[in-house]
Amino acid sequence: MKILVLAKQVPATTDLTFGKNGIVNRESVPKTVNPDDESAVELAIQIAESVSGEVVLATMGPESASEMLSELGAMGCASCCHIFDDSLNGADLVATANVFAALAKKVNAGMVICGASAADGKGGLLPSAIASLLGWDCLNQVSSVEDFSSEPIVVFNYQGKKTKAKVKNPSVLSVYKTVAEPRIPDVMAVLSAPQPEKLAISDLDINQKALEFDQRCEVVNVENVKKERKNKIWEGIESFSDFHAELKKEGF
Amino acid sequence: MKIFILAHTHSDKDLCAKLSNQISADGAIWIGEKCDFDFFGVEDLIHVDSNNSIKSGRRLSDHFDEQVVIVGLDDGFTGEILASFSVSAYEPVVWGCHGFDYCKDDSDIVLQKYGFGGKVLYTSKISSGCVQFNSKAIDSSAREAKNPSVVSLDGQDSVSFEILESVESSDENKDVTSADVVVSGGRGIQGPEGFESLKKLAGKLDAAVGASRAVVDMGWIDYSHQIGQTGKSVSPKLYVAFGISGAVQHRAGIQNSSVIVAINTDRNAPIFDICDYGIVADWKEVLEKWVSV
Ligand SMILES: Cc1cc2nc3c(=O)[nH]c(=O)nc-3n(C[C@H](O)[C@H](O)[C@H](O)COP(=O)(O)OP(=O)(O)OC[C@H]3O[C@@H](n4cnc5c(N)ncnc54)[C@H](O)[C@@H]3O)c2cc1C
Repeated sequence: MKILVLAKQVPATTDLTFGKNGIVNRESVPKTVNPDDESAVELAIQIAESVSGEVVLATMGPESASEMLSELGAMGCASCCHIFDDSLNGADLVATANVFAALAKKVNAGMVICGASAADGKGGLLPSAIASLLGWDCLNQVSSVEDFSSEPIVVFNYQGKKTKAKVKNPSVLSVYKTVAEPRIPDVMAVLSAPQPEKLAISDLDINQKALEFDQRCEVVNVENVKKERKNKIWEGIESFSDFHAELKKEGF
Repeated sequence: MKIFILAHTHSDKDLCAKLSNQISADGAIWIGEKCDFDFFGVEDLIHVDSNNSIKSGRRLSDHFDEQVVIVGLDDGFTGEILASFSVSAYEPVVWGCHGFDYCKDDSDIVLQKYGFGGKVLYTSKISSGCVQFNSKAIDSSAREAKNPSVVSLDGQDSVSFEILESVESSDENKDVTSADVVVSGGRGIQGPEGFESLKKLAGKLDAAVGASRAVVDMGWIDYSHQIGQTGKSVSPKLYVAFGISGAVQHRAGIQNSSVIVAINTDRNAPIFDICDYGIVADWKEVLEKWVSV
């Protein structure tokens, strides 16, 4: 079985600037791997190891995302795909899900694993969107995995309740970082890590309509928000009653 | 273009009645077992008797041949249905919205949402698509009840995974994103047992328990409690930070809180720069006094 695992580079800072249509200027800021995604890669590798499968790691993003693929790939992935195409700058859910669903088909994946949400977006909708396009089910917010087999037993969020279930593949799983502790690759693993392969939109079978994201939603304004705070500070436990009286006035 | 409110078996009906009013819904969509549908206060209702979010989204996409805006609450199951509808119908989905208005000029819907932990406010326009509405931003009264005429779509979709059991989550695991009060602990509470004390105050204030990444990484509390850039973003009426320094990544998750309270022994801790009320004191002393008043 081939397992497609998705990872995203996210800004390591909240000090961001925004360009046209509210798109974050990503190039100039320090970046890090989305924390849930490192664990997604580890989980994929552990499942692949137990079923003699292989892990295909993929990302969509700017040039710099290749470094992340090399780092994560060294954990034990068989191959790495970097979807890199200027026309995807500002891609919305529909476009992004179509890209990854097309890639899942191209590599003949029997399972897709990704982080439960990205630190810079927090929508958490991509896994379900990919599942819908593939005609699979999606188990979201997986917090633990009991059995790293081809049909793992997972605890996930089903209709608002933590639920234990046996996964039947093909499926999409979105996972929290608690599912597995990411391994640190040794020197040999780093040296033999797969080279990221660059893919453009033209390499994937995607309906043109999916890529027309500019026409779906127009961002008319992006404003920096600065909330004024009262900033009333007391020193010492002896001022607790004044502090508490103020909170009571606020209704707490 | 018509506006539909979407809800499911586990949605809070009272909130649905209010949201239906706030967005002036033309109709409603119900996913799950049949029930009394009058609380939506709409004339038309589409019923999909299914417990499969992905397939329900696709069914809805097949059903509509007119332009619609579908608005749901901010829970995970609703998100799954909307995501599935969105990709099936090539429609946008905007999540975390707190503002929803008509634009009189071109009859588009104008949406507002915060991004990056409340640092930026986006205003966007859609002419059709999906919206996930922040339940904290519902401030309408409930709509007057009305019995709708119901159209049932073929449902009964099963899920492919085999459900083994429901894992009980106790009240102390109240979700930080939906709670009105969040009491959080950081490295300053000195150990996992500090959270046992915090839970006493959380019980008194009917609060959820939050945490900084530092303590989650040390395993003092489960990741689901982590607040910040790489954890959850919260927007409670009251956010209380015990022994949290207020690193920029933590602040990114709390800036939408109405009132921020900080308890820290270090007067220079950055959390004091963004709080409404603060006390420079030992967390345990403050907590004990607070629990006993
Ligand atoms: C990419 C990235 C993402 C991150 N994401 C997050 C995130 O999502 N959420 C997050 O929280 N952090 C995040 N961090 C980590 C963040 O930078 C801080 O390291 C973390 O928030 C610090 O946690 P803390 O405030 O509990 O600990 P510390 O910074 O160690 O602060 C402890 C505080 O407790 C106070 N204290 C000590 N003793 C007492 C006492 N007896 N009574 C009262 N106060 C006391 C101290 O004065 C100090 O201010 C991220 C970092 C990076 C690089």
